[in-house]
Amino acid sequence: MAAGLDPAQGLSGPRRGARRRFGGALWRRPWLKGLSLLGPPSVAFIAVYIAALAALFVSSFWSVNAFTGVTVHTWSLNNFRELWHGATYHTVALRTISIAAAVTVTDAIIAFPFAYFMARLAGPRTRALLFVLVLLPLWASYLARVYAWRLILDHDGILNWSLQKVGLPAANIAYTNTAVWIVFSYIWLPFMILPVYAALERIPHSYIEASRDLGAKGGRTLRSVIIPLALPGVVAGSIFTFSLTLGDYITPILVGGSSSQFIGNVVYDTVNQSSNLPFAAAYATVPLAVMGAYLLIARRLGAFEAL
Amino acid sequence: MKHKPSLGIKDPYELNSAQFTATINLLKQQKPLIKKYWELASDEIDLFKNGDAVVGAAWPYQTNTLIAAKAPVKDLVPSEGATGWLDTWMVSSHTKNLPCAYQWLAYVSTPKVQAEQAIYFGETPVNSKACAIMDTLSKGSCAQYHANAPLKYFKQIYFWKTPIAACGNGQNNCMDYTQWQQAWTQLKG
Amino acid sequence: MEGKGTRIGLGVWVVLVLAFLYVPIVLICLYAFNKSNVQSWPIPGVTTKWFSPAIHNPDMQVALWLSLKAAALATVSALVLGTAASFGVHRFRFFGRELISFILVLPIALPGIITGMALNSYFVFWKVNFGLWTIVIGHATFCVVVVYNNVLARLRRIPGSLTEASMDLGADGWQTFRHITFPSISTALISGGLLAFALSFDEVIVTTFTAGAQNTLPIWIFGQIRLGQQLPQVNVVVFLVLAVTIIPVALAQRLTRESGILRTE
Repeated sequence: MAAGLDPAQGLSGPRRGARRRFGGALWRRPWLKGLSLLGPPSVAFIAVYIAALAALFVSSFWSVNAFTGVTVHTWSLNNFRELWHGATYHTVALRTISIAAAVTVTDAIIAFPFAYFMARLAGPRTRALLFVLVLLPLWASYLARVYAWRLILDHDGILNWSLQKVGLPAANIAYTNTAVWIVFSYIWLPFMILPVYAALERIPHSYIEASRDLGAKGGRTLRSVIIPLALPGVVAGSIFTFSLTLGDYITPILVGGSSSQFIGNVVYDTVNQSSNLPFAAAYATVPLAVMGAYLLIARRLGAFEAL
Repeated sequence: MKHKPSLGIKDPYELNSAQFTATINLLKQQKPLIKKYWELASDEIDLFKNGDAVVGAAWPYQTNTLIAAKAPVKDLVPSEGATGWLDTWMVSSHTKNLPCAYQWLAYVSTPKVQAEQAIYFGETPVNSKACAIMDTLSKGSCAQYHANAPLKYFKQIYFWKTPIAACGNGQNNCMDYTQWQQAWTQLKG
Repeated sequence: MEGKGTRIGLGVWVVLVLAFLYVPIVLICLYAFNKSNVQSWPIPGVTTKWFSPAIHNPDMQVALWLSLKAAALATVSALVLGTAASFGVHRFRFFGRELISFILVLPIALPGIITGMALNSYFVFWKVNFGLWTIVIGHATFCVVVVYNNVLARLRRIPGSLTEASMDLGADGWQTFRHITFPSISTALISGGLLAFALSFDEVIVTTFTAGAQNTLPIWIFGQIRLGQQLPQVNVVVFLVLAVTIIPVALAQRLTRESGILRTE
């Protein structure tokens, strides 16, 4: 690094002087530097993403002319009223949120021991290998992996075939909400393992030694030291597993049954078959509100630092 | 239509409130028997091939694919009749190059293109001259896709038309597409 | 501190979880060699006949190329915007600093269907034609945070004394960045960029709303799954993508010792 700082290697002459003056100007006016760094990303995000979200929210108060399909810009709460009184929309929202919660809990339970092994027991080589093995599925098409689950869960699929071989009765979970739950838990598992691992790995070994020196048994150390310190990681992972399940509509189409509509499916059909964007937008405020609340709690728990 | 003539249904896409409710109630009654309301053609192929379903509404495409995969299936038009679907080309009113659009329409209507599309996509060609070309592309495909079927065959199919309030008999009390859509969402639950 | 029983138990758990993760992927690879184009178990026979048509399928090639372009552009935008934001947030204390993290996390934390729908109607409103750039914008929204978190976490670890020493030794701001800061964040950029690329390359939900009439690879795959006529070709393509990515992913891992899904340390 010292060699890199040799002035002979750098630029010389007037160009360097100009650059120095420019650098100096930024140095003297930190706000200018801050603005030039934060300006572009903030403007890009506000002008495109936040503005688009706001416009969507506004449109949920409009309606669509059933005959012409043209948006009517009259303010009303009709969409929300319809959602409030439509029992189906409650059922679908409840199903979506329950399955998203179940997926999150399942993934946390599966991921924690795995991440613990990675962070605390595995040697550097095993750890690196496990790391690649957890990340690699993200490169195998999500759709193809969901579809592969059909082969496993089908009536004549691999699961029942294996159960039959060992003399167990067939499990009829193909095209049910159980299948949806299993496949979502499968698909989003890496998104839980990695933040939990990151949180566990950051726990200094001295904390665990201190706990032991103070007379705590393994279980007590786990409860009182490791789990509280890993919690931000679990919450960070849960942001992914929960929100990814909440907004998905493809997995329910592929592996769901006759009563597996998610909020995403109703929203998608409302846009693409009925062309009723305002109503879809109104329904989309449900996951929006749920996630908003979730994020606020997650921030309290320090999950943003652990993402 | 056939089993409850008292309802007086003349066209499955023109249903007044009473007829519509009766239809939805029948569907609700059937629901416990339903494994899946298939959305993708491959859903149904998988359901049949892997033992999850034994009977279902299908396109000839699914039946043909299953037969090719040696699954023991057969399709037929029930005595009650069947519903059908016609894919159509549309020209946008904002089209910049109208002659070009018409040339395209003429091109996709030629027997050769019709035959290729029929086989790739698994649908019956509209141009009956496609039949011979279909058979050269894939033996027996013309009959498979009913491209040579007599007019009588198509007469028994109720082709889809978007439900609107106008019933066709001068009355305006039919359920429109939005109501159909809502009922369907509610049925699937 | 773990007893022997705990160690063995955890080891078994790891093996089971890996099996859970990889059984579907093994199946995808196996069914790339399926004789029948309808998938059922057990596999009726083995063939390599799907490889050539899959590789030479022009629709697939166009879709793959579009996906690669979109993922590359989304990754580059994410690298530029994410790095700038992380430097700004790291260096300066200001009102609303927390808000920036919050806003950047939103696209990945809010359900994809909302992002997709919102962007779709926004593009329609501004009469933007759907195509490569609308896809890139859609993907960049959730890729920025990946880079941002990685770089920010790394910046927090670089001791401030390093840059001060560099300045004391006479380096200007640019030289300090070039020789000190950049080398220390480069591996964070690699792991963040790689993950951003992977997320963009496999994205379906936002893309269905922002792609217009064009197919990215996942949308092509969904089209094939819809009809179910050429499923073995899908498996071949997924198998090949996986085979091609194993080496760079493993190499990058060795280089970077990454750990968070969104961050490096």
